[in-house]
Amino acid sequence: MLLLQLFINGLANGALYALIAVGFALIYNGTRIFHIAHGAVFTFGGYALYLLALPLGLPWIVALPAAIVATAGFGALMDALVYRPLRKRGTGPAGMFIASIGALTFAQATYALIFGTDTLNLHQGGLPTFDVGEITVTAVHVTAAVVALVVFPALQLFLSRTRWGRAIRALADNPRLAVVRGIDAERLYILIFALGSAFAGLAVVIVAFDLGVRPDLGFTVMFVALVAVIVGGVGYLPGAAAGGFLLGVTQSLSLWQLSGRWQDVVVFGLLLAFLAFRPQGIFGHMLVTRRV
Amino acid sequence: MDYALHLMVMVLIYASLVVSLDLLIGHTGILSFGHAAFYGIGAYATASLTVYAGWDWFSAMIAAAAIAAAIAALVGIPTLRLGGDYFILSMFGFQLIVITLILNLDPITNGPFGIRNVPRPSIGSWHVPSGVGMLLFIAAVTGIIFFVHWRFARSPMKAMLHAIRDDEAVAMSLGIDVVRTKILVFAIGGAFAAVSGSLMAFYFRFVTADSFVLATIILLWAMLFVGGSCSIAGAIVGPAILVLFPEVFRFVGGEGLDIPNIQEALYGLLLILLMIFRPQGLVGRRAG
Amino acid sequence: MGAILQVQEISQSFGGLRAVDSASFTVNDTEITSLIGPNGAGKTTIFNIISGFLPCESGTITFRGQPIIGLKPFEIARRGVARTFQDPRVFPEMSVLENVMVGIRQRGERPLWALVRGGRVNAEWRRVRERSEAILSTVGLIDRASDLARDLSFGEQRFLSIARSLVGDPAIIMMDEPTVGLDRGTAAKLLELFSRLVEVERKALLVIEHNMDVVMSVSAKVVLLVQGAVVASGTPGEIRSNRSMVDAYLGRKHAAAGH
Repeated sequence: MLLLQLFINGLANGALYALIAVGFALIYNGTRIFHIAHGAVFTFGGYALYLLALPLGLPWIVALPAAIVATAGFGALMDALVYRPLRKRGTGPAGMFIASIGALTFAQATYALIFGTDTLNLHQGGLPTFDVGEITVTAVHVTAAVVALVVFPALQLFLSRTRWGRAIRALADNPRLAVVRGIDAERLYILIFALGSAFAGLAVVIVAFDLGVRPDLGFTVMFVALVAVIVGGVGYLPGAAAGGFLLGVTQSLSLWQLSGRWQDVVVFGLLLAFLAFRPQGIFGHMLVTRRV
Repeated sequence: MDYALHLMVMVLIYASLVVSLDLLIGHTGILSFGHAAFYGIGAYATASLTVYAGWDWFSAMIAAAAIAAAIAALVGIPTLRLGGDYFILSMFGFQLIVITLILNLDPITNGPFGIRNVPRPSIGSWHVPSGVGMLLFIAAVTGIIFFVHWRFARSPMKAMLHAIRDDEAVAMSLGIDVVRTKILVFAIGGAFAAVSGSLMAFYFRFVTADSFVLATIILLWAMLFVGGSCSIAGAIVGPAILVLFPEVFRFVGGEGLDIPNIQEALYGLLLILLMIFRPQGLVGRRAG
Repeated sequence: MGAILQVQEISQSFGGLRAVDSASFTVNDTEITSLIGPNGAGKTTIFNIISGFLPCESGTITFRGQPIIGLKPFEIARRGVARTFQDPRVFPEMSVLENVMVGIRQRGERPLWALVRGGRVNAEWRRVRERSEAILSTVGLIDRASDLARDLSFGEQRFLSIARSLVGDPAIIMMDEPTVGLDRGTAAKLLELFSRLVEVERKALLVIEHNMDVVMSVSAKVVLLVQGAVVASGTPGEIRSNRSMVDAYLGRKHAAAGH
């Protein structure tokens, strides 16, 4: 039953990758910025949760949503401080990316300076687990699954049924036309960054219990999430989610044969394979009709 | 005096890296995040060939450059024909896995322990002496690297690369084989980075994965943009400033301070501020 | 003076949208052929398909008797099919002369050559420069040769983009809305350039145009494209006598688009 356990673990990891991937894809498709600093926003959420729960001693029921809101705010702040000045300057995508690398580096180093480089644990002892037959299911597994089942459909509804959501889609499909039609792009950017960062916040509050918080927490996770976006098909949000689950499961199942040290290589190999043979991803045919 | 020598060597090695990075980023628009990885591949290949396989320094250096070029072509072929963002992501991942591979391919790389006792460059039984000798040797190789890039920048090749950088579709409509050129330039960049890695291996006589982590590529990018892209002078100015400036900390007395992370934070901030206020750097010619 | 470019029954869909629908037309050598139609009719899409930037699901395209579907854009360009884009898209940081010179493929572009023979004084480079200067004279930009491309006026940039496409000595030049944004005087100069290109340089031109006066006065043939399909094709006179149909397709749509 090892394979089944690995599969379940993989699904839970996959839910996390999916959350990060969708958050990134929302920002990328909506703003065309390669926001690699998303990884640092993710990590920020972890530290926010830590601060809210431990020194400030807020009960979890308050700290968790507060951390998510804080993360959303941090992402929006990054847009205001870093990307908006560049947009005003007319900086191209290359300059945006360089600034994003700068933001990622600055944030990570600052976390290390403030909190140190050791992993901070959010609480002592293990998490509640229960056994279903021979499979061990942790509270993290359950939360991840519930979140994914609720949050993704909610996002879909938001994007297709609400005024703001449709505005985001219009901006993603054709930025110039959207502006001509009177859509306030700058306000939408704030919303897009806040929303995408909220997803990252959601992901980190789930994983922070299991793994604790480190300055470079977001870093390797980001890589897998980005590969998930490609595998699912750039420009198609449900694809990013699907890619996240697929990668989580693949990575986990690879443990059956390979040591954990090779996981990154497996993911990279998968990336190269897709880029070589199917760069549009699994759902690439959806690309021409929907960007967000 | 010894320490001043050391600083000069570091400036030269970084300058050799930045000038080849400039070929990729500044002239061709290839945002290579993997330059430090090729630097590492070059250093490790050189060290491994000389220490474990008994090769002479020169053959090892050439072979290291060839290996890096081959790997660059291999990675570049599927990734450079797609948009810039796919490539950026691939390089991000490439950077990660090169570290993983270095740490885990023990027979070649000695895993996390690194490779020691890399021999000095030599002719017959005469070895380049430490100190000024090594400085001159490194200056000579760096000089050659700079010369090559200077020649490139004064040739029709430069205009062709700029066309690719500025507008790929138009470049294609003018008969430029954009994909093949990008792969070629990427391989050349990788080869030069590997030579810089060889220099590093010969100088320190010890290679370890620590020298090629994410922080290194961030430093290289910061050096490139501080000095200014598309500029031979910038490739010296940037490294000079970012190698010498942290030395100020030593005099200000940074006991107990987490210097590496302070530097990282500053480099990150520097990149952001440069993009906002002065994308052409100090002496560069491109306005970003 | 036969057909130099033959487009036969080409179709291409994107998502559910049929952008090009069994379109066929021919471009004859040393003639100006205009491609007209309402916005969104698929004219630029057809340009992109011919020049290799977009795929083509079915049909054939033959240039000088050779099929070109499936070739990469740079291969098609090297065979002699040049094109310009709706925006001039000049290389802003290069001088006017450099913009043109980059249109010729030289050995000095190869790294080894650049290193060994690279500089700016060898014979090949001089040849390229002379040819580029000649082209600049043809389009009337020789006085601006050393100015930076981004300092040119819009009209001058338009001429520069055409000059750039000429230097590789193409047999056919496809121009996407070349008169847009030009004032009367500049547009007239452009039409003079067209006649020079056709009569003196013996090139074929395929032009996407919205300005009916221009179309009717210079074209040897007009092709009307509506919703991806060729609806009419013939001499300006024949198209004009089909006035009602043309107006129906163009007039109302033009008015609606605020032309």
